[in-house]
Amino acid sequence: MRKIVLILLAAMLTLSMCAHAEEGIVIGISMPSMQSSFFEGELYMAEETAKAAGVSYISVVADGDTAKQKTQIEDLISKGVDAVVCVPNDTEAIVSSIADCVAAGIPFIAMGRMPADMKDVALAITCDNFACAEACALAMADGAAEQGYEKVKVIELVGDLRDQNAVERTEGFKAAAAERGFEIVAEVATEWDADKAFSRLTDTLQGIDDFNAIYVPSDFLLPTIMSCLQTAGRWTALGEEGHVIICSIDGDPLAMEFITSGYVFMTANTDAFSFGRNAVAGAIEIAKGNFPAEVSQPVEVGDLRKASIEAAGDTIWGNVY
Amino acid sequence: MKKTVLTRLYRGWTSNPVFVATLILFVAMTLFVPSFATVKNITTIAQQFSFTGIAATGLAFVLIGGGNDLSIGSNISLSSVAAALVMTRLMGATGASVLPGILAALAAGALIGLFNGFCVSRIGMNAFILTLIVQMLCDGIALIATDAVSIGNLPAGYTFIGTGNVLGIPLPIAIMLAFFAAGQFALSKTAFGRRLYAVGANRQAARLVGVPIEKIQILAFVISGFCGAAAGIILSARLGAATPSAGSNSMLEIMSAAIIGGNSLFGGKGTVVGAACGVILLSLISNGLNLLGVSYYATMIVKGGIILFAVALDYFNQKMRTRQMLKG
Amino acid sequence: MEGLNRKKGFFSREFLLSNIIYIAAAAFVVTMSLINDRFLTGRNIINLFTQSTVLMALSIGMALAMITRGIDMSLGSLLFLCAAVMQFCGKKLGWTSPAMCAAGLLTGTAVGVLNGIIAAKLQVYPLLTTLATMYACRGLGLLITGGGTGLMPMTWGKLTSFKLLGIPSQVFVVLAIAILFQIFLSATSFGRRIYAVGDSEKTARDKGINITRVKVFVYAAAGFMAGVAGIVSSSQVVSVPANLGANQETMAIIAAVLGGTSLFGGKGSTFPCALIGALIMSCISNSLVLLGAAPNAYSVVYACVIFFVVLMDTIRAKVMK
Repeated sequence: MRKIVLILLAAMLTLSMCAHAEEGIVIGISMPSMQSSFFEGELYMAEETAKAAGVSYISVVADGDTAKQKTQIEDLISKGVDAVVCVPNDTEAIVSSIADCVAAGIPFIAMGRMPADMKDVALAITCDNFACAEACALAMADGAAEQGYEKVKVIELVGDLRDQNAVERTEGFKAAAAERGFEIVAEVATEWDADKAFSRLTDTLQGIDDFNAIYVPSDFLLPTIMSCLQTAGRWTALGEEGHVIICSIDGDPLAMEFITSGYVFMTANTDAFSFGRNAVAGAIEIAKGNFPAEVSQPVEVGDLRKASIEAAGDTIWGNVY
Repeated sequence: MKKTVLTRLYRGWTSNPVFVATLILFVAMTLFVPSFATVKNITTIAQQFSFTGIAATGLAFVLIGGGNDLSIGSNISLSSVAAALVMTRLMGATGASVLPGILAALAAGALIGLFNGFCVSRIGMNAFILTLIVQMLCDGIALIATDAVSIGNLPAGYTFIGTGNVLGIPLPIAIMLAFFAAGQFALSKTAFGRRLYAVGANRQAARLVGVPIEKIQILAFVISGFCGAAAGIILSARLGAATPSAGSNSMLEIMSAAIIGGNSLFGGKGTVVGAACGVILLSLISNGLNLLGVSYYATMIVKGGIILFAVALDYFNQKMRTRQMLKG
Repeated sequence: MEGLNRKKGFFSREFLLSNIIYIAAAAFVVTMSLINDRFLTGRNIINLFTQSTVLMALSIGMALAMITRGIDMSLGSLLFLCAAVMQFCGKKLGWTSPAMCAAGLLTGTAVGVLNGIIAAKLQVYPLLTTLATMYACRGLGLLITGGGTGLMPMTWGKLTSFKLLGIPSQVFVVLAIAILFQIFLSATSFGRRIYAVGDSEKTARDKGINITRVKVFVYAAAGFMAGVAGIVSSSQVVSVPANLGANQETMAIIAAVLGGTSLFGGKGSTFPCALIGALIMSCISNSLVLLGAAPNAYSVVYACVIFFVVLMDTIRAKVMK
């Protein structure tokens, strides 16, 4: 009985495997997880770019597991892809995968997060977190001026410090804030978890009344902030009493709605589509043998406020996705 | 008919569905999955499951003894972190630091195993919950010790474990095979092994016969901890970095592999060879899904399905065993 | 049903062991209020209750399963799945809040029934089978939300911002549910059967109790509570982030055991046990935040607390034999 059951299982798996040979250029895309609409946007545009160029691709998702990502990249190499486009799950551990790629003569393209050792990376589409933080600080000053606040007193939300992006976004902001004479009245550790952010922000708002701005390192936290501010009676639109200048980073769909209605002042748009597009376009070029002059290519940071969103419409990934 | 070694081997293999399934899957993949049947791919797969294989070996001991160990994953992470810390922070990543690093990892793993064994066997805490707690503890300690950042730049002597060859065989594979052989030998040919089976099968009876139950179970946990540490060393050597969270995701896979391989949750049954087969089977499935580019969501569902299947299989096996016992 | 016929009063070993948690908790509260004067303020206390509602809801369900000597590891991911379903109904189908709630609760109960059937039929540690359900729920939920953070309709947030006597409505709802379940457990014959199954399945079966029915009920109830938790959680953060509910089941186990529900079955209650456990957990995390502890330390603290609690529970079970 048991034998039959297991044989059936093996047979079913066999049947579900239809072989198809890959011809032409094949791009391997390795994502760390799908738990962020940012990754979703990156992957979507990466695949679209490949399709548009008439090139095949294989996408793998590592489920937040570093060992799995290593395995998946090894499998992509086995499969004989012509280039690997990758968002590293762990920036230290990915170095060994880069070595694997190099040993197999396959170029490695980093997207979004930078490997700890950039030695053998053929192309890196970087996210300039410092520029994002700077843009936020600038917008915050503008917003305060518009609202008539003399000094910016900001509550800073901090992401999960295991994420290099979170580290850079907080460091960048602290520097920009110091330059402009902002006062950071409180820091809230969110660990990139909305529930924790809710609890901790609520706790923080309990003890602090004197603030007029909030720095949000990722748009997905915006609904949580809305909830907390509503409870504290500070959720008002621009121009109204007690309005809090909120500046965030990402540029994802959540932010669009809030900015258009005036509750959030600005978001630093790190265009997920650009990452995917530039990475795959670059990968295809490299696969054909054309290596880029500059290895590190930052994606331009957009400053999205009410007016600019209305003007830009469909070209912003946050509006489309 | 005279029972020759060959016939016994043959009957052993065909009676265990895992062997059959693995064989069939292997053949099917050779025929149907492109890029599968190359030497490079096969050796790559073997290296990939080297660390889960070693951990599953250790887990088999605990399962056979009637316990359970959910902390293996975190053990893997913490041991590798211990090794990395000793090598990089204490000894400056020199060649001489490799051995102390390895010893630190193995010691950490064994200590965790000792703690697990003591709490479960001596104090009588529930194995599931206790090892779940230890898992949280180890993860937390690993995070604090590394400040949540992976430790890279490990000395070359250490990473050689993950990337080097011995007699043409990649080291991870060789080490894994050594563990398989040693583990299976310990289980089938030593007094400890026999007693372990006895304790797992019927604790009360074993106690009546005079078997030192607690010592046996504690030793099983220590072995599991030790194997977990070894797995951690191999994983971090392959990755070239010690990640505070690397092993945590593997716990479920290691557990499923051991159970599929015949190591019953009810205790008293199973082998290292079975666990090894379970690991191979799961790796083949994983590799196949990767090579075919199956969607992420589908793989999650497959994952859940496999665990369910493994547990269901174990349950049915247990039912049939009990039925046979009552008949005979 | 030793859980109901406990002799109270004298300072015997039994009394101390059974109630050591409460004693320790009381000591903890006193210490904390001495260290930080914000701890025992009315506002903070209301805060504590509000923040623990999600955990309370999950703990009620977990406690029910634990009384039968079972466990449900899928509750956190089930919370997420229910929230995802509700988000879909609300945003894509345009349903009203009550309809969304119904959809979420139905989803939770349905999956709970599935868990119950598996637990009853397979009779193996529900730990592993519910782990499988956990994966399936998370995956299915991600499929529904598309991986990103799903924004809930604005009116959804109003569910948890509605206050009565300054205390958010969800606190009353969860309290009421806990009391209802407790009445059911203590006063009906089915409730007694639940305890009986946890005490000794063999004896219960011999007495003619339908084990399957009992198990399906408790897991269905746990699933229902996951739905409730999903409503509260997604309403507080007005969105469904991809990691909503992650690791909450472990917290629920800790809370249930903290409150006095035994892992060995046959002992415990939804009111006050599960609620007190969740409150204690909230106190711990609240204190950690007020003390400014590093986020990395949190899980170590929780692990130590639950270890102590399980140790006490084990010793108590041994002593009572």
